[in-house]
Amino acid sequence: MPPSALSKSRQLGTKEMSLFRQLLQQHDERQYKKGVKTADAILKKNPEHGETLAMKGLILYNMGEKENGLEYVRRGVRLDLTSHIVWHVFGIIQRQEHKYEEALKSYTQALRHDSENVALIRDVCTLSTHLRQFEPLVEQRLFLLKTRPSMRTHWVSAAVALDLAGHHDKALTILSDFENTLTDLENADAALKYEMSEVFLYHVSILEKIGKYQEALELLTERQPNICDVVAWRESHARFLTELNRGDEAGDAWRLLIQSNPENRGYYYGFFKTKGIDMTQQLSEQDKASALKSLTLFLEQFPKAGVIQRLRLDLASGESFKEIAHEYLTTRITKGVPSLFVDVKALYGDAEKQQMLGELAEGYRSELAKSCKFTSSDEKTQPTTSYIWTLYYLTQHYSQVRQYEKALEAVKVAIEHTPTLPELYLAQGRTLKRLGCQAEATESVEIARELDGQDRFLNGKTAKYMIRNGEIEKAEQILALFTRKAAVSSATDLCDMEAIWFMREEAKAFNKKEDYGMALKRLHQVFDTFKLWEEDQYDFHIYCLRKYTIRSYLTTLKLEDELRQNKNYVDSAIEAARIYIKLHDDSSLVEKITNPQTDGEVDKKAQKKAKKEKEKAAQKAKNGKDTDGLPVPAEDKDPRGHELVKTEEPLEVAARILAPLNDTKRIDLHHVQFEVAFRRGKHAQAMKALNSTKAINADCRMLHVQSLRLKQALASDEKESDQVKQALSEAMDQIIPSDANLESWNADYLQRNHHYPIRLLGAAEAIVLIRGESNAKDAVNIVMNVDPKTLDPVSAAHIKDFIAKYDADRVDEFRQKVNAQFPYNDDFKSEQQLDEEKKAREETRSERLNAESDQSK
Amino acid sequence: MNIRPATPYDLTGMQNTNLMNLPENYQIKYYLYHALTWPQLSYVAEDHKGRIVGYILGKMNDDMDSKPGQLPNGHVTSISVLRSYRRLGLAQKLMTQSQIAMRDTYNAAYVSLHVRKTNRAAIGLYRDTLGFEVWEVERGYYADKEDALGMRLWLDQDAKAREEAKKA
Repeated sequence: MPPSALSKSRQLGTKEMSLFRQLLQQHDERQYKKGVKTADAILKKNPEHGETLAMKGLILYNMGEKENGLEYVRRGVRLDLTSHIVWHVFGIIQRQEHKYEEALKSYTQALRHDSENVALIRDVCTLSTHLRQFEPLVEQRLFLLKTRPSMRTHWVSAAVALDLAGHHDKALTILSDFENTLTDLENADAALKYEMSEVFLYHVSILEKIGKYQEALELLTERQPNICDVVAWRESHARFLTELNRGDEAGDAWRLLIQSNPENRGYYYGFFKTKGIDMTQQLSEQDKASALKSLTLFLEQFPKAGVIQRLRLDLASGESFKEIAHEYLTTRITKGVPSLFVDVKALYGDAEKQQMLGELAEGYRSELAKSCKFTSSDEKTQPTTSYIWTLYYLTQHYSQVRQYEKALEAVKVAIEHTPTLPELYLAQGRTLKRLGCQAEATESVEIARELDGQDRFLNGKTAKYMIRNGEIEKAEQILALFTRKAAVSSATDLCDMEAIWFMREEAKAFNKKEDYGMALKRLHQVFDTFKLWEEDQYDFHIYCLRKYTIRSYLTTLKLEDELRQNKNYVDSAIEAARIYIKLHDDSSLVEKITNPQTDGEVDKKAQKKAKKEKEKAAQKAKNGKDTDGLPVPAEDKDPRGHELVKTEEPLEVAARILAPLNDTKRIDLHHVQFEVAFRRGKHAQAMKALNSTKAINADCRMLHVQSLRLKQALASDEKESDQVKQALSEAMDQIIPSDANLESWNADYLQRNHHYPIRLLGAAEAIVLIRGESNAKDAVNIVMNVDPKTLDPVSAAHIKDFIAKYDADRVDEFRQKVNAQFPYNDDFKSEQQLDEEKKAREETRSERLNAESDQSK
Repeated sequence: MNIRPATPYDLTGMQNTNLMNLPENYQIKYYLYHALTWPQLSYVAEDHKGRIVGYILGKMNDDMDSKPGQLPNGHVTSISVLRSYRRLGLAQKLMTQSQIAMRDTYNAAYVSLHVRKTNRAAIGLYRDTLGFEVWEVERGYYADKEDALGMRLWLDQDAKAREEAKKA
């Protein structure tokens, strides 16, 4: 920087100049205490020296004095707005605070005053990549390349930037130029060889992306001796030959891959593609026969390959299917393969195959019981385990085809025969769960867990069932058997370890218990985990360009961009938004949650637990590290989620959570988007949500009710301009015609949909809206008359809630009706029945434990 | 089950499998570190619906600088198959694929792994099913100070003979 540009306040005396250089060095070497002293020495003479203030602030920040440090930096910036150092420092801190946009702005400012600072440009590149601002990235990368063409990484980084910005041809040119600078690769060291191998494969992948298969193939062939990643080379080679319709060569290329990994399904799909057979589509009989023939040949070569055997089941039909299926089932039953049913379940989409599989298994069952053989013509007799695994298969088979009584009977016979096999209790539990009998299901998997206490899988399964059954505390206790002993609790460890399943299950369970504080806490832990995953990529922007693992890196960037579309994320966002809506609708909830009037004992227990966890955390905080040597996480300031429920603006929070979601196929997302927009008075947004719902299902219950609510609201809307109102009413006209009589509009809907219980409910809800709550009993009558045979448990639960709201006296009548239809479902049992079942379970349990202890004596 | 090279898209599924099965758990960043350093060495087993039911998380030992003269060697950070997908030989199939990649891509002479001295089930799997042998005992290897068995599976038999001679 030319000295004339120095502002007056930046000028330092000779001594201070040298001190300042010392300060920079002390910062780089992390000699923070010394650095503060040096800074103070400069400031004593030049108290308004911005760059020193900023450096002191950065050091303080790094020492943990974040607030104080930031204050120094801000002062430094204010005092010397044209210094690249103060802006750079400010940017570094903003980046550490994860404020990437602001950090990039600061860095850009710094760059304005020191445009050729390579370290600065590199940081700007990282931030630009992180924020996906690819055009500025290209500019910086090309500058770096021009300045330092001797650095290999600059070539590749420039190509990556161009590729990301969509300038594929320019990226390819740079890569070619770069590759031509390297000679004698054969004699290079292992590291360089590997790096260049990755570069070549990256180069090829761009050509593939833009469909230049011929060029891709040529480059791939030319560079074969330089490639380390053999599998990637072979896979690319096979793909390109296939795309170029070079049938026989392509077939050989896939064969080579199959030889090295006969269990990769994709390789067979690739092979068949070269024969004009697309395995992802419905195949003609002729194609099926031809594919089956090839598979039989492959099987001779790789008799142990499960993938080949399984593919044959997809393709075969009739007697030939039966023959292959017999072989497939019996070998796996003999081995005791627990996943057998799940593995063939996809075949159940074909009614004929489903029936044959059931018949085969039933045949084994009766023959094994009689003669210990699968079929009467078998010569070999089977061990008794074959009988058990056959029953295990049949349990799942009948559960799948909804013959639950038969399923339970099969598993009962198996358990009586072999009471020590955990899988049987899991299968029984899963069947009961499907029937809605969560309490009994939980007991069953608990027995499985007790049979093998060393197995984490059984432990986690049982915990999941317990959580679903509302036994959260008990679940957390058993989970603690496998989480880090040093953690405050099993829940803390599982959340630290990013166990999304646990957060999701607990959120649902707390939600059901109306403990919205804890539910929101877990949901926000899901959001925080995704946010962390998004931030995890930051370090790799630099790392991967140094390691040259570009292909995986680019996949990661794509994955990060799609993170918010992950089902777990969307489910959690919808659930959280629904809770915030409840908090908005019922302002008394906050008080109920934050000051619960629970009965004394439960409360005491919870208090005791909280106290214990707090003590454990305090102990660790004292040591600074937990016993695993990991730094102690900050104290949980909101252990029950009370601060979350206390939000002043629940709807705004909900809107913020939903804002980044754009999965148009999720109808439940549109439903909740409507609810939030409607309550916020954003009628245009609500209309948009309705149209999205309509695009998926025009007879949807929610669409029916929500559109009516919006129509009524529009009628009394005085906020919107006439123009907006006009547009909205025209849009509404497409859903409910403006001249429609609402009663007959609703009657039509009812007529059209009376065999769908959930839509029956929609019509009933509409009646309440049309005729007013005083006439709600008419509406209740409609749902009371639902044909029980058409009911499903989920619709029934919604209907039950509706009746409870408008005619509580009739709830029990409805419950009985559903109970007769779904006798196992806990949600429709009477209190008395649930109590009796609980007692019976406890008795059976204590009998079993007694018997076991007698045995061990 | 389908066995194929892992991609970054598989990492959350691998993490979930690991959390279901094993006591040693890792955050996603650690999985990312593997996928973005040695993209060839991790494999997954997936079911019909594409759910991950087993995985091997592999790496190369990169302490060559601290141990000069050491042969390039692969390391299994974690391998696991869901309980409900056992008896299909998936662990072995995953291990074989990872080994081939260690040898072909990085010239690994052997694969190493650590196992808790008391974890009999795992030791059985590594030794009897996967062909590993105990090479050394590392005292206090784990955070809780338990000893680890350092096990090896040799890919280069000549190198093995030389190393054994050295050890003797």
